[in-house]
Amino acid sequence: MRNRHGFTLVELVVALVLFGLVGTSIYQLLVNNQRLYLSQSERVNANSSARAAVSILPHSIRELSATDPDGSDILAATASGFRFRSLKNVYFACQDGALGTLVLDRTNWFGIRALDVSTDSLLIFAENDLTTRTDDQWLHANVTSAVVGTACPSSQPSITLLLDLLSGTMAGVYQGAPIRSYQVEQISAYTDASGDSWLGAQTISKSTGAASTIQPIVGPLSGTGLALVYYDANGNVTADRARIARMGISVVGQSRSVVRTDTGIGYLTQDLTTDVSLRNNCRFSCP
Amino acid sequence: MFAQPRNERGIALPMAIFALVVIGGMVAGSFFIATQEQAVGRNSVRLQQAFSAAEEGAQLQMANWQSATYNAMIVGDSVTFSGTLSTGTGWYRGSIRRLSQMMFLVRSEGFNRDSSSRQQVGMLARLRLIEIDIQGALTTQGDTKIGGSSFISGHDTPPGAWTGCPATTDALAGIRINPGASITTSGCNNLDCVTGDPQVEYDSEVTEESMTTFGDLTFDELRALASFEMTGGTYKIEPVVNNGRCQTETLTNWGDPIDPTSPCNDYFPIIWVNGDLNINQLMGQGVLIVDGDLSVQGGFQFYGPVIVRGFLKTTGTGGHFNGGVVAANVALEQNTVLGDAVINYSSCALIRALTASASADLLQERSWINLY
Repeated sequence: MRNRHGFTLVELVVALVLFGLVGTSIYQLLVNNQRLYLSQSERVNANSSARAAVSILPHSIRELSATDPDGSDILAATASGFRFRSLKNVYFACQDGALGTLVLDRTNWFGIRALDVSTDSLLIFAENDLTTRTDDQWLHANVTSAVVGTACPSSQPSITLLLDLLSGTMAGVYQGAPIRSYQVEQISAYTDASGDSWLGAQTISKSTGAASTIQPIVGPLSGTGLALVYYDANGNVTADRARIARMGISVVGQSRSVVRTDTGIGYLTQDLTTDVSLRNNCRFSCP
Repeated sequence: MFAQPRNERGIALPMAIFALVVIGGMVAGSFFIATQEQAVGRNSVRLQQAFSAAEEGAQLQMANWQSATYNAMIVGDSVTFSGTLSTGTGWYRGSIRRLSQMMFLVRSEGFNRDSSSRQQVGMLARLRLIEIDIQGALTTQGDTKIGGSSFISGHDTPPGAWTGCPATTDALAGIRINPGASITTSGCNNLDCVTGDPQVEYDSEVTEESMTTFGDLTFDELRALASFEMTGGTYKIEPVVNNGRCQTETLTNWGDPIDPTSPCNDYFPIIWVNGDLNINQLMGQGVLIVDGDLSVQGGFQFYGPVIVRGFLKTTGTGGHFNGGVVAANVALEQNTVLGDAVINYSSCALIRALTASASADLLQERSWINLY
């Protein structure tokens, strides 16, 4: 025979066994690596959800005042959500207030967006008696129209607002007074059609009071996902919206898909807790 | 002898390379995720550092309110500030803008150490005036002796050297006194050295409590608002300027009410004196609070409100007070306004002294603004 090279049966069996052992080991290694990779990815997702929630919520809560004598900024409060006056910007009056009218400086304002008459309501600072601070108040007003012009001193750019004043009088509103606009919003946990929990936001129409379609802002969350606790200035849990001084926020983020864990197959979760004080509550001579 | 096989290459090497590539990919993926997590965490820290820097910048301006500078700004003007956190984790810059006669906006922009993260906050501040209920040139609950060539006037009198005073207000009482106290005269027949509307007002509301309560503050709480404290004693009070700068560190420098070009012309301190104070000459302005008795001589001139817990005594060339004097006279000893003393009610001196010396405080409500 010209070619007698080949393998004996024994050689073949040994080779197959060795190949099987090595292949199985490599396969196990790959599977474990992939499992670890997926697990890590999902843990990152869960972490991100929880972290984003405890980052977003304090921004909305810090600026609120629950102790306003004309009504708390927190309009509804439950363990899974709250409705509130979401502050959008601050402008300054360039003239003293007049009956039903207010002229704003159009160039010097701060905030996340400009005043939107169709959605925003106003809080107007009234100094009243200049020599005392105890009669200062924030007037609540609805804007009915806005006209852009140059009505500020020295013909500077202005916005002239027609107001429907809901509290107080404009007599104590002086040039330079800050005016803060807000839109009523609601943040709450909800479950979507596929059964996943999310943290969602809605805007509330100032004309009809109707809530917009809820939009997810963070998720998915585990179970109810969000737990809010309301505390008064003494640190006691309170259900009285006008006495809220601090909000405790607990969020449980959840992985987007199930992964194999030490205890079996399931979702990974990550819980984070933070407390936020309402920084704009009344500070002295409070009613 | 067997011939050498032509091809002995097996699959071990390709398989090893394949495994290494796959495992390497997995490890790289894991590292990537870990790196991403670390970056997110680091960014969170940077953001928090920037926020803290902005907060500290604003809070420091409120805590160290520069009354002489900020209170003298005209409406619309602003001054800038900047600083570095003592921890070295960030820095801040910002401005203080006068919004109205009483209100200011403190805007502070904070950065982390390498300026890769930025946050901005604002605070609405309001001047905190001492609420002194001046309803007469001299208000007291104790017996009072007036004489010599002294003069007490409840007519609103702008200080002669001052410009820009608002319109004068209605006249107040020359002397407003508790009905239980008496006024005796020596050379001031028929109280002709007292003018006002009325000349003398006997008011049962002039009590120790009413004279030692100032809005929501008690007499002792005024101490927290003082620019500085002095111990009782005998002093000559005069403005001190060094190298063109008003020496506010000198406790006997109470500003310059006479020379409008002086660097001390805008300096209106709130002076708290522990014990009995005896002033012999020269001049000052601001808010004078004496937790004891006040004796004045040598023609000392003062512009602004004077609050004395004990009694008031002027002798010799006396003292010239422009604003209003409240002598609570808690020990019910006799006030003596003798010599060449003058007490003029002046709304201009009162408002200017109270406004210029005022500290600033955050608004009662909604003072904090997230400026993004």
